Amino acid sequence: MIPVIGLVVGVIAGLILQPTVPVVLQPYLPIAVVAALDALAGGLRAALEGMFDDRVFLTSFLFNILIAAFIVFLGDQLGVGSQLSTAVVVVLGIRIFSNAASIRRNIFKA
Amino acid sequence: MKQTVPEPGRRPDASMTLLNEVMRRPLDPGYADAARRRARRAAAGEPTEPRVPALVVAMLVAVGLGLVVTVAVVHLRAPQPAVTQARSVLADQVAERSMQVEELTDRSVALAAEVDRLERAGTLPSSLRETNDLDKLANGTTAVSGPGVVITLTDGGLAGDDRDQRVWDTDLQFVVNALWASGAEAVAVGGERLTAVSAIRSAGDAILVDLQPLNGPSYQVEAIGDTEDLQVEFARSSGPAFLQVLTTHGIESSVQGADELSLPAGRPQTLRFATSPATDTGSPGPTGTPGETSSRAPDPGTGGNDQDDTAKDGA
Repeated sequence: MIPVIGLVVGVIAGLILQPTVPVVLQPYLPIAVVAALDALAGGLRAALEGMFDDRVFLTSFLFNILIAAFIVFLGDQLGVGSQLSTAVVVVLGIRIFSNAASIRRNIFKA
Repeated sequence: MKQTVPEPGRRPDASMTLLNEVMRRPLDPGYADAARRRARRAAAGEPTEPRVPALVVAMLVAVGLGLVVTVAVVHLRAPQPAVTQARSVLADQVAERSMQVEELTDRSVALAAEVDRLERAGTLPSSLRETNDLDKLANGTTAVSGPGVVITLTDGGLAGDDRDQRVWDTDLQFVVNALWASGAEAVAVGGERLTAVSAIRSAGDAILVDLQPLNGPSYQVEAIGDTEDLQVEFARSSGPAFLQVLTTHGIESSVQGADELSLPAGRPQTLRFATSPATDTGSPGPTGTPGETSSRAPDPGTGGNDQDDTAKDGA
């Protein structure tokens, strides 16, 4: 429960404060959002399957975002930034889809 | 025929672990581990709830993550930086090219001055030179200075978008024509010298004089001539009444005498010449001969008409 409340507080704070993002970090934003979606889908599925865990959820959330950003950074340095971004999006996208399918099965039993 | 039999204990799709990993186990294995750990603790009789410091850390991390993701989403919904970047690149290019044009124009003026100097030093008979000088003065190819009149028109309602409260190209045309008619010897609008073939026109919201945009909201029309005569003649013309009409639209105007005005030379003109078409229709073409240009002196009688013609061209 605590991390969910924390996330909501963070979202509200983000909407109210509207801080500006440094230009350096801007290429990583789309990937970070996709990684966050993946962690959210995973957490929701775990909760529905009765094995949700705060710490796993938060660490997967945090590390998803950090690693996704790092891969994009690495790609930029190697000159294959857009390709690596695509790779990250494909992998995370597949995971989001499969998790979403499990969530659907859990909720609708179909 | 030999069949490849997978070794025992080795899956046939072992070479595709990466894809399998992605497709079959989308859920973080950590959840299963954590569930097992909890079950073990519960079986051992240990407390399964996390301690308070862990909860505080979890809360802080969660707030931070929520903040980061929200900021990212909000930022991504804003206009794409790539688009604005492309725009700024184009704007830079426009500025750069405009500067090049400016430089080349300056060079052209300098060269024209040199040509002038050489002509003076050269062998032209004095009478011819005098005619030449007068023509240049009249058609705006040399810079001139002297006393004159400055008429300033200023946009009204600066905050609003009302087109009626802005100075239009036709307003400037009217003022310029009135000044020619009042005996102005040379006229410049916004620092652009008017020649016999200048056009004052608008493109969108901008007013162009010889294709050079003017910077609002104030527009200056400078005319060289005898200050007193010009002012008197202008007061007698339809100019003041027109300015009065503009005032009702919120456009402010002022007419001031000036002891010393200096107007630049007009922009270099491309040489125009007439060719006789194969089938003569009998109507005069829109182009004039170079010789005609020099005869179009803007004296009080015909100067106004000349300007009117070019103004109509542009409108």
